[in-house]
Amino acid sequence: MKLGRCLMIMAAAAVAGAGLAASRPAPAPFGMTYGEPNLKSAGALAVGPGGVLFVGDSVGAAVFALDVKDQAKDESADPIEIKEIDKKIASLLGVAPGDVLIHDLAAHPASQNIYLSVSRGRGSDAIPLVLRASRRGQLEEVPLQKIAFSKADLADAPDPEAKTQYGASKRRLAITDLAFVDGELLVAGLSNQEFASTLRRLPFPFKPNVAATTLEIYHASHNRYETHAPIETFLPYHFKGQPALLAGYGCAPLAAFPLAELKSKKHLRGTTLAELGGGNRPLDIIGFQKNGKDHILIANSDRTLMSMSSEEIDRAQPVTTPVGAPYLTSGVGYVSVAEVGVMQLDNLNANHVVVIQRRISDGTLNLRSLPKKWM
Amino acid sequence: MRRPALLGLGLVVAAGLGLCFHKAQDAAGAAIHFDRDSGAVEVEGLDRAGVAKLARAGLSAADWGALLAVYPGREATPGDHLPPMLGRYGVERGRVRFNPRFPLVAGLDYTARFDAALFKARFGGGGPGAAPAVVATFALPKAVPAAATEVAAVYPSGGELPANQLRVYIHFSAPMSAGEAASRIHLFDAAGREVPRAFLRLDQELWDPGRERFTLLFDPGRIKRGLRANLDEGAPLKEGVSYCLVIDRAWRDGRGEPLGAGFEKRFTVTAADRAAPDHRAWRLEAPPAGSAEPVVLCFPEPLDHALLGELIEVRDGRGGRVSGRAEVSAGETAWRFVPSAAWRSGPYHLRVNPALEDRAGNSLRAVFDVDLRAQEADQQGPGQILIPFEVRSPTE
Repeated sequence: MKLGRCLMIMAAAAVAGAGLAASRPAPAPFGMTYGEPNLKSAGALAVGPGGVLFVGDSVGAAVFALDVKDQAKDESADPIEIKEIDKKIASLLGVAPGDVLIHDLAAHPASQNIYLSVSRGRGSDAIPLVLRASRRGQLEEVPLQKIAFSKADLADAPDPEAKTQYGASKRRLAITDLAFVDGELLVAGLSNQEFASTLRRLPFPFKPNVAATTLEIYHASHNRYETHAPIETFLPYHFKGQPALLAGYGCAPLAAFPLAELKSKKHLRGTTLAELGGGNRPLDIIGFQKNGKDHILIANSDRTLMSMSSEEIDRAQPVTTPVGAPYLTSGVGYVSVAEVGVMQLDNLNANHVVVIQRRISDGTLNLRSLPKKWM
Repeated sequence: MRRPALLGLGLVVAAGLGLCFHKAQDAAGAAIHFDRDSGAVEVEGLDRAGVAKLARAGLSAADWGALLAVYPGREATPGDHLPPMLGRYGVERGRVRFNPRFPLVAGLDYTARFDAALFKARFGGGGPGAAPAVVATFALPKAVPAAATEVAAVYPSGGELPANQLRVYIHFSAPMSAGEAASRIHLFDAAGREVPRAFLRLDQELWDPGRERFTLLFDPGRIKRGLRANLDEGAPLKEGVSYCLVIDRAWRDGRGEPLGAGFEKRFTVTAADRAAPDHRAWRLEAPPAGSAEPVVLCFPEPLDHALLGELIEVRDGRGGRVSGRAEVSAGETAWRFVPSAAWRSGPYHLRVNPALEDRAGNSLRAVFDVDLRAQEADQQGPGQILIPFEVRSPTE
């Protein structure tokens, strides 16, 4: 999850409840309706305006906006810790720890409650869930039986005309990341059939029957071959003073895309800012402040946490030449923060980021807070 | 293993006895029942006045959990402050009842612990003396699977793959479990050495909606020319070398059972395919009018199995869709379409979506890795491709 702290674009936040007669029950905000969202899966998470929680449902080919009614305010800068979070969730859900899959984590910026998208089980009877962890480390289920929600279906075929009439389509979009930017939800995903990296734009509040606008995303590699590999994770950011997206790719590079072009173009070409080193893929990117200056922090599958300063990102020149040997890096430099095994990452508060981290020494999976001053 | 301070009677209830209720009882008469049909856990034999007081007490979930806690596993008091299972508590017919929030997992042990001392201290009753905790362990019997799940097919089906092969589809005979693919699929070279990092790892595994088909992607970073991963490690497949794709038998299906057998696909690697498929080289065999014989489209190279099944459709002379059944055959070099009703004389056409790709991800629009020096950026490529054909009566 990433709510770009460096790009605080919070349009439409004041819509909820405005101008309502006091005697009537408050209608659901953002054009939502009450009921059961009936998620088929719970994956990528993002916090939106008014504390709305967006949940990517890859199996159901949809994105849900949930009113989780999290109005608490917590301005403390203290850490939160839940040891062996996988075992605790397994106990709560009545399964063995190996049957708990934690897909994403999002910290609510106002309440500091932490939301987790989880599968109970791996098999045909797996149940998707959203859990909430409080500052005191208590875990609870976010009840989804009667909740204000809205849903946006994602176009499920390369074009509507292409839907097969010869049987049920096996096509599916795996949603890799979500972010709310400037009144729109951006959805990165990867199809299990044709190979195209697409970014879908959905205006929020979701309007009925409004299809996502689909962008094809490219970035040039070494000034020669362009690629449209899947975006693993992305962050709304300011690049050279302009709103932009920073995107981390499974095939390693970090690229920047000007946000202004999102709305005017169907094909978007970005600039490769850095090669982060081979044998690795970025899992999460967040923006944060240290000593009053903007930085980004990247969690990785096979490398340490990486910290980059905005000043260096702004000075970056496009990477146009290949690195000379395996695992070498190029482009924007980074501080290799001595933290490994970070699988989920988000901002928690002024002083801390929150992570889910596999500890190498004993193999345990823990929710921890890491001080930003050390990042 | 820690033991509770007051352990009354720990009873492991054997699974599969065919009884609806199982029972563990303390000396004072408090007993835990497990209702196998509903999954509910009940405590009976408690002081009636105490139970009535409990029913009126309006306990929080945490207070209920302190009184009656159910955990997965066999520990009466699990360590590390594990929370008890989610569920709904209440009092029914003089019993304390817990309905778990989620269905119990067959074959997994569960342990229920009732703190009789706490009950006695807060709600009274039960006579003089200490009130030991009542503990019961139970399990739902695991159903015996009817038939093991198998790998039904792997595409491409041929024994030769290009060095820049992009996707492999693995079809299973029944739904599979999620989250294991990365550790269950291996690529070995001719010398039996495993090829490291051959495949793209994704947290969101690429399954079809029924979870019966898995899409395996070779790491695009290693396939695309000029990308760092390609320069560092080279393409995972080398031309002229033979490989074996191995699928572990231990991969669990949707019921948690391993596959009936592992699977191996041996193949030899040919030169990389860097050309977009050219529809002008395709050959169409039109069926005769009045028959329900297939219209057949043949390709000079194998195309992507899944996309072939979805991206070609048949339209009649007025542009209406013709209903029928499509199949991919001849090692993905032929697409056949059998109409639901007999063909009528007249013009038809095939409508091909240009997103159709070959085995290396080259689509009708563009090759997989576009050489910017050779092609204009932002090129749109062709729109829908129409391949006309005429259905004639055999006498014509």
